Amino acid sequence: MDRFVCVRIVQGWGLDLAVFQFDWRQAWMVFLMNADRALYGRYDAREADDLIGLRKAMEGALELHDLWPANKPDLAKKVGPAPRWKAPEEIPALQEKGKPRAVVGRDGCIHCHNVLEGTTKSIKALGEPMPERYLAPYPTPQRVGIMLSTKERATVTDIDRRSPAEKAGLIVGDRILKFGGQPILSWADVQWVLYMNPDPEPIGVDVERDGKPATATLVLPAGWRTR
Amino acid sequence: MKTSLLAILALLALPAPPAGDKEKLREALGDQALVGPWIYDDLEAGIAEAARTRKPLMVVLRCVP
Repeated sequence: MDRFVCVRIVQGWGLDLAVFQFDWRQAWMVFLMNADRALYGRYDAREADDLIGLRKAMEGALELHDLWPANKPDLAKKVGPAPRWKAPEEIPALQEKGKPRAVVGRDGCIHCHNVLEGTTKSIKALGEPMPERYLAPYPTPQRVGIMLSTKERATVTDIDRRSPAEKAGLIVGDRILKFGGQPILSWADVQWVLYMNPDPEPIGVDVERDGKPATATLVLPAGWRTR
Repeated sequence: MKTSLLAILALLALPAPPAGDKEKLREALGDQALVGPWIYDDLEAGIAEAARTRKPLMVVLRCVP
């Protein structure tokens, strides 16, 4: 732990939505990043039944930190495009929560789940079509047929039959090193790539299989997010 | 499935409570038993410290339970 600067954020006021984009439905979230606001990886509550996974993600972040800034191009897409609203309090539907202020308890806080709800509510109020990405936000790896161990960064434990993952040739035991060209530290990192993928663009997967590098291409069928 | 954040922090052997005006927040979070140089609700302070020490950051987003 002493190799990290540790920060705990307990409320959403002023949160930089250009950097902190994640599955807002999670109870908590970890961002591993650097002083240049480049992200090494995400880790979410879903994975927390086994904390070995978090430790592995942190080890991976230290490896990426040692390579910084030479790995800057690989990490660039871990942050999404500039958001429409830069902070939660700018989201029209959250204006009713008032102005940013210090928070001690739960009251008066913009919670993480408020961001997703406020965003979709605002889009509806503006009369704009809802992007499919918001209809089915942050698809899990299972949606494309991949089950991952919570004890590792991203090691495949099962593959669904007839899924995009099986068709891509991914197999149990594959260690996903890169997904969509991004270094992967956790399940949440895979989820981020799926969420941001410009469909129907296929996703390149770099794995370590039996100690050797291998590659696969994940082809996502039309409507994969919502069906 | 849901392991509390407190248990996570304890397992990772975090040290040292934050100082001063964050005391009420720390109490609300039940973090009194923790030790270590955690920075509460101040990302910019964390960024500055990371730049100074050349360490990476671990930023935990979790509201008061």
